[in-house]
Amino acid sequence: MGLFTDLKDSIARVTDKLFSAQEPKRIGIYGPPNAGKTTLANRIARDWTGDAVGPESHIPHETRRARRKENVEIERNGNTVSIDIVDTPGVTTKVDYEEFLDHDMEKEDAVRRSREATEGVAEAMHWLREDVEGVIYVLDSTTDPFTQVNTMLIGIIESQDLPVLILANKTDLEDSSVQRIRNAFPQHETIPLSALEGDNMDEVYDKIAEYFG
Amino acid sequence: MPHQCTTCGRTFEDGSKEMLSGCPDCGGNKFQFQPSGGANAGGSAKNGAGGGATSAATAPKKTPENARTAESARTAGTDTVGNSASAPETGSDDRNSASNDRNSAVNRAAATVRDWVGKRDNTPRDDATDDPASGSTRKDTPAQRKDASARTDPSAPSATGPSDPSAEDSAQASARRDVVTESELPDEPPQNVADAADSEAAAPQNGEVVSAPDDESPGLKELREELNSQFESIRIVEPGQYELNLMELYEREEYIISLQEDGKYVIEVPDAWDASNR
Repeated sequence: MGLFTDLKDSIARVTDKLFSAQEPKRIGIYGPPNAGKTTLANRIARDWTGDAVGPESHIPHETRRARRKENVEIERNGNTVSIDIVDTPGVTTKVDYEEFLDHDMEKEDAVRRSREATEGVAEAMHWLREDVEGVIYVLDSTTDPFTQVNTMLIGIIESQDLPVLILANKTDLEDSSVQRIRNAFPQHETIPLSALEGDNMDEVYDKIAEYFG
Repeated sequence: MPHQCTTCGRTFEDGSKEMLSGCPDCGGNKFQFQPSGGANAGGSAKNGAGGGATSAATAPKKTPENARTAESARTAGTDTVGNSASAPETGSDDRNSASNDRNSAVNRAAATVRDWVGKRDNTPRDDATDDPASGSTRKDTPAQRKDASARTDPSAPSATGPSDPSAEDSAQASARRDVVTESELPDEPPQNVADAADSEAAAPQNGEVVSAPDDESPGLKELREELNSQFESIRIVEPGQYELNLMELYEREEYIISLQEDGKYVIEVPDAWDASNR
């Protein structure tokens, strides 16, 4: 009888965990290469767990495998929102090793990086279909947001009915233009921030709690 | 007079285009072919008119000299088929002259074949069908065998490739064979005369053998299409340079998890658990 009770308790615990409001949602951080996705993921992870997600770099395609930080609990207004952050490789339609040669990289390393980046894009696209329940779409506000990749990804996200938060990153840079991003995607809310400097992160967390809580 | 209409007997030069849409005189579409070396036209015409015309018309005819050469040259089943395809005999005169040339070894082998076939099947033509598997038996059967090879050659050429170059050039031979392989095989059995019936019955079996390569080509086509569709998602411009089709990558259930340097790649195929979740 004791065994039966134990079993029942453990099943109840599992069901509670499965169906509780606290179940973390998997939030994918998407965007083109070098938009600051990993910097943002690290910022969020450090702010709430103390750990980083992965190395950041000014060289594109530093993140070539999706990295996940689970159970990031964000407290907003007395409530706790628990999310799994999935930092994804930058999505692009073209990967060229010559791009990396400008960053003092040997050709062999550049070619390997290029191959891994391509695998990373395939993986990111796969997880977008299979695994994420919400998207934080990070854009470099110093660059033109009207690109094929951005249009296509936002379109896919909308077709999936996933909640999406558009972040206009790198507001610490001079030629940043948040308005340009707002104009590009007027149907979505755009939040300015500097993930590097930590500017406007409070609003970002408010919106994360609102969108994904 | 390489080509002859089997209905009205009109002849056409080798390579003539007149006959491509049927005999201009009688509208017949059965022709027989005789290399310019000269064969017994009477015998072949007889045979052609006799209802074995379908194969006889399309099969190149063989002179007695050629027959001898071919028979002595035969060493393997495929060779046999190829030779018989390019140079079958249909005339009884040809048969006689050819059989006169046979040596005792050939006769012994012929007897062996007849015994063997007799055990398996009373139909003498069947041995012709089975012969491609063993060249030695093939050449030994007398007239029947040549008949059989004349009947079966429509299917044989596609398996064995080029025909005897002395009889006709390869382009003509292949053109003729292609037509025969597809159109003649299914139609043959109903129109046999008694003499041709056995060899006609053998033809479908030979057809099976030689149709194997034909079966492969659609498979290859499918494979190529499959590969093309896969490469649509990631195109390797050159090592280190890739173009990605994001929609294709997004829509695929399986995803590429590893690109190899040699152009191969590893994909993860969705398993049953994933499928049931969707």
